[in-house]
Amino acid sequence: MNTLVIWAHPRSESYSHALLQCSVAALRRAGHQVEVIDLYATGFQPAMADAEWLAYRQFRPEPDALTLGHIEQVRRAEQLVFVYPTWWFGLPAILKGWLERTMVPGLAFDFNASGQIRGNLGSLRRIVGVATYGSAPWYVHLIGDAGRRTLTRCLRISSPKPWRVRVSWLALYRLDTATAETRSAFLAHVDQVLSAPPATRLTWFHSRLRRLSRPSHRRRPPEAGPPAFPLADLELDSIDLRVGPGESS
Amino acid sequence: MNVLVVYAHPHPASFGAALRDQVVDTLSAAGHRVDLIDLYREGFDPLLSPDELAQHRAGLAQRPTLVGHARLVAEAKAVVLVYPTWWGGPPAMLKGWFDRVLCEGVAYRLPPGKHRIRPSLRHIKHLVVVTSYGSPRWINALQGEPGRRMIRWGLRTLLHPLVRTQWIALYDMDRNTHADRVAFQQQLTQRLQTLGAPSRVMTANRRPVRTKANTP
Repeated sequence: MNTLVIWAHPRSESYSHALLQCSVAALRRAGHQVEVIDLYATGFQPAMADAEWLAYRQFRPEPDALTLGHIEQVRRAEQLVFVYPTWWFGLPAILKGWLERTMVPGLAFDFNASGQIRGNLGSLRRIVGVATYGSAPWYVHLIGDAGRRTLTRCLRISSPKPWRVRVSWLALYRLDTATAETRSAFLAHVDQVLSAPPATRLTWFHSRLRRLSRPSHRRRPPEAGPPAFPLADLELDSIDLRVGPGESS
Repeated sequence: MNVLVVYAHPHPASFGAALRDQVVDTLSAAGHRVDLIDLYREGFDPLLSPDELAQHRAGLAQRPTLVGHARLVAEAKAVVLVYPTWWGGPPAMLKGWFDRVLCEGVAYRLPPGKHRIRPSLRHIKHLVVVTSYGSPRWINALQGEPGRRMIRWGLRTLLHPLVRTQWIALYDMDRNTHADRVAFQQQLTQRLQTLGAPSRVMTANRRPVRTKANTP
């Protein structure tokens, strides 16, 4: 499948970057054609400008050259993979801005004769989120997990047949206090899920059953032995701590 | 009461701008001191830079351009957010303002050796959100109102424990009529005029104050 990976983290020494590399490698191993958008490195500007908003209002979007390239990539993509840290209970501003500026009328949605909104992302088959949270899972679910809802609901109903879009949500909670073993085990988990061949309907059904019986953060206990992914070159102490302070309270 | 109005909309002649003016006028007429942060007009940069993230413990020292905003937040007793809802939540401009301004020393403290933050916006006792949605209410209910959850349940934990929130929202902007908007603006004025008034719960069962006139 044509796969578009969107990464929204400013630092390449971060754990989030390790997640990106791990995801891309796993997706390539599974035989997908992978394109990566590194939002910070491309210099993407998240704030929609006045002229752009006016054009959007008249359903004649006028994106700049960079955004136009992203729109073409989204149009081709059958699989959207979002790798991001959760800041203040939601998406980072750059990823939120990317949704606003890229998912324009004509690409993501259209209006029918009576002015009702209709999804237009016909080629989309799967949405994957690889997210890190500073808080505990019960707290994230209590607050409502805005980032996940934005990507798996708002974006999902931009497909004309939302029920055909599969969602995989891979989340690491309590990132601040996570040990190197936990982080490494999560990388292995991401690798395993994303490198798996496309699921049939039956395995999809089984995965839902499994999720009901055991929450995702308890599903795979960290295994003993050497970590599958070396983490020595990451700034584990300094980076991503902000994800936690911003989150947990 | 010091009221901080944070507004994010790119177009100066939009319905959002009309709401902003109405909010500022109504609150000023009610006797509040209103400070307005117009993020687009200020040219606010919503991007959290790599350096800011790497040195997030430095707080405002790392972000000298945000000192003015931090001071307004520290003085506010009430916060009013005025924005259009795009993709379920506040625009990236406003989300970037949260990401950058709510840093250590402004929104929370993290004692050394601890992992749980201590909120430091306890002085904010009123939170009002004035927003407009393009899609009807039922579509937003299906989407799960991410922006509302993020602000009303997430950011609320930084504020006063008994903070009173008002969610004043106009749905279905793509199709509603001029009359709907006028009705919404009337409702907005009425609800803003009650800002800072004692709540109905507190006043409902209270005994009348004894004065000379009603003492037998």
